[in-house]
Amino acid sequence: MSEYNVVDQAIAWRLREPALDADGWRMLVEWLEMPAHAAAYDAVALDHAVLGEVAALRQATPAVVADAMPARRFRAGGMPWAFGSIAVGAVAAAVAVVVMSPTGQAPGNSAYEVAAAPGKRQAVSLADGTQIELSGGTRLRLDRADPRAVALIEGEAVFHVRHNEQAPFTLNLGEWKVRDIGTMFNVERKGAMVKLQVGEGAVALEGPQQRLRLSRGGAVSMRGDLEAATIFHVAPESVGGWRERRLAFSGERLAEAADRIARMDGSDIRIAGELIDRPFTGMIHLTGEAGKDVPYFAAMIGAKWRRNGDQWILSSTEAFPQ
Amino acid sequence: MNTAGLKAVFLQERATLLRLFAGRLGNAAEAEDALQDLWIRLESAKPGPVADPVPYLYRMAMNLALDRRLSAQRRSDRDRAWSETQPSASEIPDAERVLVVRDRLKHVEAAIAAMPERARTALRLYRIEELSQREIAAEMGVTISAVEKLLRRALRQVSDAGRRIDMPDDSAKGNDGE
Repeated sequence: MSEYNVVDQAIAWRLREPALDADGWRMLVEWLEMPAHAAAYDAVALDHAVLGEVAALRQATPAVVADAMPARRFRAGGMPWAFGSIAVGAVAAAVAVVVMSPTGQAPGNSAYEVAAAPGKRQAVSLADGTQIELSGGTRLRLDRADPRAVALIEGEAVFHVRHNEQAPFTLNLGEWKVRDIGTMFNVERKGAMVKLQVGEGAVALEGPQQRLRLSRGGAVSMRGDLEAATIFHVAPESVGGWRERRLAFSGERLAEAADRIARMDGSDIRIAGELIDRPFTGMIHLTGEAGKDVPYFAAMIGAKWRRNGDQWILSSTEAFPQ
Repeated sequence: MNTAGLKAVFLQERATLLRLFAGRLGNAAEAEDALQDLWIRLESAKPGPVADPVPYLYRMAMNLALDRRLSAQRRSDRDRAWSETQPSASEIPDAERVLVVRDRLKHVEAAIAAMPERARTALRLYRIEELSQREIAAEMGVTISAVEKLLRRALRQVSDAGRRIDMPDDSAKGNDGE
């Protein structure tokens, strides 16, 4: 038997997997007991994971929105998915690409906003090569006159910054700003609450009086000033995990965790009563469908859920899940 | 089907699951460990209603085994410094998976760039939108068997991209790696 056949068989198994019944799985388990089969299957399964990262598959056809972009809020999610299968849960987070051009500066106010609606995503490529990925419910302010200055008004985004010694990139976060030193980082902001995680390179976080330098794997969570900040380490590979719909929490208040899930799913989640301030640690892999994610989240935190119109309400329960 | 139901299915399928882990992980001790890990995940992770518990359980087991294999592959050069600050132990294999994925990405991207548009479309519908082959056929206006053929060929090209095929029992006949 040639190795070609083994790889083809592994591919055929992988393709059939979603439809396998119990007997089918038993046959697959048996098939996998040959080391050559197992090796081929691993390679195919790894490629399955890799395919999920391939930009050419993830992105809808890039659309160029240049020059004439007016200084008003950009409508997010306006890019229709190329195929009419939005109803399928896995597609909920369609990715659109907007390419900005620095030319054609509008007279007067050159600032404009880019936003991703709750449950949607948006990718922005700046003229200097910097790329920004916006999670759901996120607003950025950009300036056509100064492409190296971006403000995160609210929400969460991953920044892949092209470093330029002469023109350092600055991300404004209200009183604080992040200055890059050639890097990839994830920032979440809601009012004065700022969370920053560095996936590559290093950044400086600068406030009115304080300054903090973070390098790869460094993370900070703060509200107001650094005195009350939590500085910790994260696995650099896990930074920006929301792009794979993975949300990691380490001691955040349940209200904040729910907020983040709501932004990703485009849902409205309210945490009732004493649960609001309870800390939550754990990781959730969202499906993008509130109907699945919210009950799952409720189960993870041992809460009861009910719906009130479009709103999900999570409240405490004495009855522990068995 | 709730968690209790899934656990009942787990017990019923236990022997085959153990065999799966033993085959995938190479030794009985690690297989038992993985089996226990799966049980714990059933307890802690509360899935939504599961229509088809048997495939659900096996897929969970298969992913768990795959994570462990990748993890073992990376263990030697892993930076352990972060492990104490990980939010949860289950995230570590995911992080490792990310590293392995990154190594493969450029080869796979090149293979995809060289494909005809139809193959790319089929791959996207299959992998990103996670449609069934029947749904892909409807989307693309072709027969199911045409979709299957298209996907098999495309996945084969992906698999061959930049990979020297070293099967234990076969002489090297793969394409040129690197």
